[in-house]
Amino acid sequence: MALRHQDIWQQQVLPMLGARIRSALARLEAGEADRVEEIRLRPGRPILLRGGGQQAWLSPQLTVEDIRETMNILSQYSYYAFTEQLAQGYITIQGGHRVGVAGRVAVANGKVTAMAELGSLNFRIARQFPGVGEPVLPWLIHEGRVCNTLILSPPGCGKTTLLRDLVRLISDELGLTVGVVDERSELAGSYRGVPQLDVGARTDVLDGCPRDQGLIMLVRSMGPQVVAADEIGVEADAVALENVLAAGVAVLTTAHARDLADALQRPVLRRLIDGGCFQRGVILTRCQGIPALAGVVQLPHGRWLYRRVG
Amino acid sequence: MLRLLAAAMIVLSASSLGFAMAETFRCRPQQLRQLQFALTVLSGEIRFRQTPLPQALAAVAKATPMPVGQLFADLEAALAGADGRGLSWAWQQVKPRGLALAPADYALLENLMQVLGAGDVVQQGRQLDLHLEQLRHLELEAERSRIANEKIWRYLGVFSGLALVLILL
Repeated sequence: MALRHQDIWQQQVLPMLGARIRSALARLEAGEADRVEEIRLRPGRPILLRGGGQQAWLSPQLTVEDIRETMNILSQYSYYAFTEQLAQGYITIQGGHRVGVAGRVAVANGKVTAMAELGSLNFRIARQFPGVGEPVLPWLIHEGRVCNTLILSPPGCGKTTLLRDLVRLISDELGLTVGVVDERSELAGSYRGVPQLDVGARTDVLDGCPRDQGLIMLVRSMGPQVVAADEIGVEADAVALENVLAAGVAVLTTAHARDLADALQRPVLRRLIDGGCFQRGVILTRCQGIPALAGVVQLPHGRWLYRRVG
Repeated sequence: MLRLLAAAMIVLSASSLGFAMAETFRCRPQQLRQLQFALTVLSGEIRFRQTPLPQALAAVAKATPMPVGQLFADLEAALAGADGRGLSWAWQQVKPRGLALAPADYALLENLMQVLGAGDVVQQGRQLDLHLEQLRHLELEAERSRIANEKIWRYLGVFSGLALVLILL
């Protein structure tokens, strides 16, 4: 299942770009292409490549037409099939890569209803890091059961990557049935309903489904032993989680927060943590620019089970 | 003897020309009906399954009888090679084969290609409804001209052949 980065670049990234952009990127050397994490396309600007903490401009200067061609390919000439995703600001393509979209949005009743005119695009190349969950998983198992776990981290520290790998490990190594609610197609990177990233052989994914409804649907229909969902934070999530826990299903989820104290400032998270919904908290951080594990705490009281030195 | 053969040839070719003209008048309403069927299938694919155009066009091509179905198969193939240039561009690459459609019919289809894929599901549904209705009008008109012209062209072919023979004799 795991493709080499070069194959991902050739088979999944380049074909999705407009002709002029594609030929510019095809000229990159393999070593350079390997490092690219993000391709940013803006009308009137050259192509911007980012990766490994560096960035580089690449000619030619892009036109609105280049962006439109790329969007035509991305959407398969079918805006109607992607209206919802675009209103959320991204499209997921084969391989689980996400293309962020900015431009002029249309608003009705205070809600974004459509991306009316295209501005810039941001290709984020999905990369899997199999094994990042391995040092964490033992801390999450207590008396042979997977603990209800909350992963806390600031943006860009690998929350989703860690959650994905934990799901894969629980599914493949522990042999449990896992259900994933993937509202924004980030966790499994599904394309037409099929996960493109490895989430394990015993995993079922509800793609594009609202978290609160998805959690309950999964428990009702797929009989999971563990469910996973990314980025909880609103009241509806909390109600759904309580329902899932009442059914005796273990939960893995994530939230934006620097640490436990930060998480406790948020009413919904506080209620869930203080209410004893979670038994483990995993805290991530950045260490010299590289995502790293800060520690694992026991919840609700927050005693460190493991703490990174330094 | 030779004269008789030549006369028969003239009558035969004139009437086959007439029959060919009559055939286009006969086929056009039928093909317009098939087009309406095709757009109904497309509308279903878009409205209820939100199928992206490449797969939706393939489904239409499969469901619609030839030669109208071929038009959609060709469009799908052209779209696969469009490289982002859009549906209108792909439509321009399609060379209709074996169709009896009139310029007005093609103009309507071209119009549809300008809007297809470029709106949300509700909008696309409305556009397709609109085009379906116009196709119905075209079909009625085609039916009228079939009734008016089909027999005339057949007779015209035969009789003009005969007339020519008489003149040459």
